[in-house]
Amino acid sequence: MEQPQHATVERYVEDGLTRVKVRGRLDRESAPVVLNWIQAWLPKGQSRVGLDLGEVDYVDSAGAAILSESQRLAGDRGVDLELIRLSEPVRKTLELFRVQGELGRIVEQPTAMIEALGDKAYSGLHQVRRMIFLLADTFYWAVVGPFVGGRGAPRGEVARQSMLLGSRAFGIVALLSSLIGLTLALLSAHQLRQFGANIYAANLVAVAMVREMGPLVTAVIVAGRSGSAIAAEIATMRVTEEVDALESMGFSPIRFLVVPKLYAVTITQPLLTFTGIACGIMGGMVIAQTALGIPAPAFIHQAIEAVRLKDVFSGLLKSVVFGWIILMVAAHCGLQTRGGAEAVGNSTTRSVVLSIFSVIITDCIFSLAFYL
Amino acid sequence: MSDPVLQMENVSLNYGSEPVLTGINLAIQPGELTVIAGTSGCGKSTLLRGAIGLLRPSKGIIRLLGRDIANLDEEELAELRRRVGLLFQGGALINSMTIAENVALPVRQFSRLPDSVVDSLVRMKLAQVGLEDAMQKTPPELSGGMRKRAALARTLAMDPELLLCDEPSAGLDPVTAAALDRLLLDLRAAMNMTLVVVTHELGSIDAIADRVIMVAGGGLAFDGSLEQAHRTETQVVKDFFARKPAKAETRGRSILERLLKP
Repeated sequence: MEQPQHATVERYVEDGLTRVKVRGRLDRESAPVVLNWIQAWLPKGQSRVGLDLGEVDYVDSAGAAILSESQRLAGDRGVDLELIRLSEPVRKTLELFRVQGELGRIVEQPTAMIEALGDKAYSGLHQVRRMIFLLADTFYWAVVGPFVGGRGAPRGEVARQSMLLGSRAFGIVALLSSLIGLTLALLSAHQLRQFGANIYAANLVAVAMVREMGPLVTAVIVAGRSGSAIAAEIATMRVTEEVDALESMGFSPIRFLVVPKLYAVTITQPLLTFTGIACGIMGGMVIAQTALGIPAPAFIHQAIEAVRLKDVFSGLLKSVVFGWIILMVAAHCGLQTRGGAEAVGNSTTRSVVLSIFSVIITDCIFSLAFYL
Repeated sequence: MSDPVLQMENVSLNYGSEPVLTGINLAIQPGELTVIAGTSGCGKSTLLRGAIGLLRPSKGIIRLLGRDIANLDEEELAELRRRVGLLFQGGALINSMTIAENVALPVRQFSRLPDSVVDSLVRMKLAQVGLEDAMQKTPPELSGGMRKRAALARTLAMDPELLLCDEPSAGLDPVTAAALDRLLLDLRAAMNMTLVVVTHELGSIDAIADRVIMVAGGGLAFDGSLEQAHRTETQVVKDFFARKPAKAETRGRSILERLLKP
């Protein structure tokens, strides 16, 4: 075994007693090596070993830790490790370092599986309960707010939020929806060509966009873009105690923070979805004209024939509900945040995942309700 | 004697499921300046949060301005909170608004004053804390001390009957801290405001306190006048004023002791 840097370890026997003598600096560098030596020298079948630290002139935290570790190891083997000499600096340092509990590995108490499961279920239920309260509070203030005293949020907040949640998302919704429409047209034409039913690509694109893809794609984009922003904003306000401050001044944080966004989302979500649908159909039309040999007027005519008013109505209704879901999930995740900057990030991620999940589940329920 | 502004009877407050304070009894009289002292993490801020119902007690009764807050609905509680100011430790200004908008926020919300009057009021409050020049800045552009003073201006904008301050002078330079102490004393003298100040600055305590409440070990260790606090035999209070740390044995055994007596 190597000798430690800035220290030496030696073993000798005096009066029939094994002694380990350390010289020099017992620090982060030398400590592990010294520990190895001591461990190797702990005899079997002998009950006492003397540890001579009389010529150690410096000991740091690592040094102190290996000393107590050596003692623990010795104890495990039934050896009594005794300090026989101690220099003054080492004595002072060892007196300064304190531990309240037992020394050795910190063992995390494992949670029993059933307990963990129960814990999860309980906290899940709690979350749902909180969410229902939030929903009730938000809609109460959204409906009653305008008729009772005081203003919820600063003037122009709904407009500002509509700008943030709606107008700014316009470009990305338009672009992605037209790409989806384009892909849909290509895909369906490829299959329909086998039957010489090329023109029905228009039906497929139009109905799919209006009923499903338009509201869904818009909702996913809004969840990723605006939902995360809402969650991050509210979570940050929670962490910096701004929400508590609002409450302490007699504001309702829900009325102040969530309700303006609810109004904004109710206005912007159908508009965005409508944009998405229009762009999707347009994208399909472009592909039909250029690649599939379907003239644009025929495509449009076919699309209008295919879409019923009920489809448009259900699509737009869905979009509003999706908007509300995204907002509620984001606000819930934001308001539940506890801790520091890291908690804000976690809440944001959770809000995006949870809102997309909820949107898709709701979409299934809607499809069943409308078309079964 | 008139009714206490804030009264707690056998109150226990939890943080999560962990009890922070238990068996709290106190009554704050109108016009009094009470200092709540104690070492870090002993539950001083928790006590303030409990006082205005941001944290619901797990046990006991809290009466704020004569009303039992457990019996109030959200609206009534909000109404009551408007008569009480709470200055948060970190200021808790709304970061997306300028300092002026922050101060104006509660005034615009809860009064029918015309905008020009609100603006003058805001200037007045900001001048009081020496921040008239920073009016158009947002909180992140200010230093910690300035933010705290801006938050005080916001709290004062509603002229609260009871002002609760959570470590108003922590992190401030001694000159500004002394000015803040002075301001608190002036406010009480001029407007007969009741103040509860959480602090662990000994200088501040001596300068402003009428009464000292010491929080330690999950409860109130001392409650009495400033003079009584200086003369008391209660060990924690004596140690606190003498700047003596808690007894060494509470911090465990030294490594030396362990090596000598395994």
